[in-house]
Amino acid sequence: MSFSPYHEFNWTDCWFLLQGAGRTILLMLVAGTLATVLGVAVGWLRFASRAARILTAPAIDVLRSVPLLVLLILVSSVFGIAGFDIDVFGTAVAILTLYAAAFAAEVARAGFASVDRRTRRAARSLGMTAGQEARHVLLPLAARTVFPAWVSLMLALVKDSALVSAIGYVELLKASQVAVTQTNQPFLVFALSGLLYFAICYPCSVLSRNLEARMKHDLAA
Amino acid sequence: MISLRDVSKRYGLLRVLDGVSLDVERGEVVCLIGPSGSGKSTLLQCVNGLEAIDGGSIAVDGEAVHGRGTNINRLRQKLGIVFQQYNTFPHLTALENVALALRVVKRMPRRDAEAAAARQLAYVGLDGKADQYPSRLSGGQQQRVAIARALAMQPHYMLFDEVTSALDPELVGEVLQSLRKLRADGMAMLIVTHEMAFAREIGDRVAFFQEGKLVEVGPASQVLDAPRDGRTAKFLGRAAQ
Amino acid sequence: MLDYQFHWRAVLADLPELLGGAVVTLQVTALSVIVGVPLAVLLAACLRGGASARRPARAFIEVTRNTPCLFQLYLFYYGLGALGLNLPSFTVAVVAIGLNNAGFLADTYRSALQAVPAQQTAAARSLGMSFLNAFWHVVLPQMARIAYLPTVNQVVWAMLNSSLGTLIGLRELTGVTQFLQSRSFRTLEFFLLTAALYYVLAKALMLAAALLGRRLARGAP
Ligand SMILES: Nc1ncnc2c1ncn2[C@@H]1O[C@H](COP(=O)(O)OP(=O)(O)O)[C@@H](O)[C@H]1O
Ligand SMILES: [Mg+2]
Repeated sequence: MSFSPYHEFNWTDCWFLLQGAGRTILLMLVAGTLATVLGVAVGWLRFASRAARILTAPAIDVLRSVPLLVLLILVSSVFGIAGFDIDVFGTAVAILTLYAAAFAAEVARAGFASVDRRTRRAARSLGMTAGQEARHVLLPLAARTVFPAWVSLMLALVKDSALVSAIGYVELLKASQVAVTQTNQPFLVFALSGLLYFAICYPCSVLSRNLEARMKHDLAA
Repeated sequence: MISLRDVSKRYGLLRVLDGVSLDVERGEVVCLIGPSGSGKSTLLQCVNGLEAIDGGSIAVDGEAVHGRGTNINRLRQKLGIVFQQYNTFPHLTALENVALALRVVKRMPRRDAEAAAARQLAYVGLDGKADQYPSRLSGGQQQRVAIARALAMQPHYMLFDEVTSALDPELVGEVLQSLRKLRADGMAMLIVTHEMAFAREIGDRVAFFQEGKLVEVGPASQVLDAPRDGRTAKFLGRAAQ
Repeated sequence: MLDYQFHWRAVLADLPELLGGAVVTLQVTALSVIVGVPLAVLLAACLRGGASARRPARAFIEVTRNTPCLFQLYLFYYGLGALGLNLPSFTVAVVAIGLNNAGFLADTYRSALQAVPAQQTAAARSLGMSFLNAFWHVVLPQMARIAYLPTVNQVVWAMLNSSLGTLIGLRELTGVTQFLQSRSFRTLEFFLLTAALYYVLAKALMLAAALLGRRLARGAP
């Protein structure tokens, strides 16, 4: 009997992959929430003020024209130089939030811009304050229009989160790599992790597509 | 000669063409009139082989349009067709619209094709518009580009499908003028039209079409002024109002 | 952070090598587009065909869109490697990113195809053109007008995605940067310069596309 460094793929490996999938979802939830909040805030500024639009344009443009992997390395190296005591999860969340927020800001701005000015004025004419109008008219109407785009954004975030494996956070893709090095069964392992990614992403895809189709239909009617 | 024998066609349960027989001789002009939805457009598309038929036969100069061994692309060069909605190619200039098929179907060198195209544009009175894109042309001008495009293939027969009904009234005249010119030059034509006065003027014969059937065919003045069939009379009466 | 000393000299001395990496990046991008665009046209045609053509096309599109691009790279690199097919990382990057391009463009091309009225084909066929001639000379140019902008965006996206090649050992721009910085550990300077290079590449691609696209716009209303 010869010694093999590998073991057969077993339930422990399977559980390991599932834990990775859990961390991928956790990343999406945390970074997704933060990116949405940040994106709506920046998007509102960009919608409301010309100065803000001009000032934030370069940052958004750069975030969208540089590969996420490069941004990831840059941010971790800045954190390192600055001596931030922050773990890989924190770094991963920070960079994914920043990256997704650049896209979310544009989605949010487009949403605000899609709300008919006359509807907003009508709300003010009823005696609503600017804040009440924003809360009860602008925000809900904008949210409805851009909801499919926002779902697509979250879908992209799940896929982008695979990159943080490069800085060592053990999400689904990193977990697959580890499992491959231990079992030497890349096909089986990647088939499983592919299935897990698909199970997370596909429902988002379908939801976004159906909502978009329904909106087009409503508009046409 | 275009010769239709007992042609029938169905769309699902709907009988669009029901035993249609009709001949168009070389040099002859036949006008096809009838209520909308009666199957006139379908008939023209069948003659051109753009639509299949379910029964009967259509022959052009003795060659079956829907025959197995027929080279339909070659046969179509004998048959020009102009549609109600012009269907000019929006990404090509007027000249390129006319020259395209000459280049790819007849394999003419670009220069010859463009020279021939320019002649056809002049024929329909569009000499000055050769370099314009369809989006910059009026409906009447686009329709004349479509006519020139079909004529460039030097067809023996021309099929016209309500070529003026999508046009503003003041643009109808210029398109009809091109058809008159064609008739004077001896082109055989099958013209679907709603303009009764024009049918009387240009048609050697007029055929009245209803619910997929040819109700009455005869000399233009006879069918239009003294219809033999009650259905024709009724249609003409309504059209006159 | 504030007292960080930037050292640019060593970094700038390596600029020629970085530019060499940028050339590889552009090669991968160009080849992945050459693989992806015709395949996307084919997929679009399949999507409009019968169930036996539509189903496999749909399945392919959903898999490429609902798993991370990095996952797809790993699948080709390690997965095929396990089957004894050890492709060089350049080839894997071109194929994986090319297939990814196809999956993302297929639906766009399908709606572009749908937007060209059937009468355009009828008019071309009535002049005696064969089906292929009618498609090539009449339908495709009109389709291209609609599909051009999404295609350009995908090209830029493919360029950014090619950075993932680094993680399977490809020496493109990011890979070269990673290698060079490991000699001097001026990580921040190197990656700032690389980020700038990516930004310039992205803008150059957009500019070139805008110039080329003017021809496509001819005849537009
Ligand atoms: N592609 C098609 N599929 C189903 N029905 C059709 C199609 N084309 C035409 N029809 C139907 O066939 C009938 C005849 O249409 P058409 O030939 O366009 O009539 P006309 O040109 O005389 O107005 C109409 O009832 C129309 O709705
Ligand atoms: Mg009709």
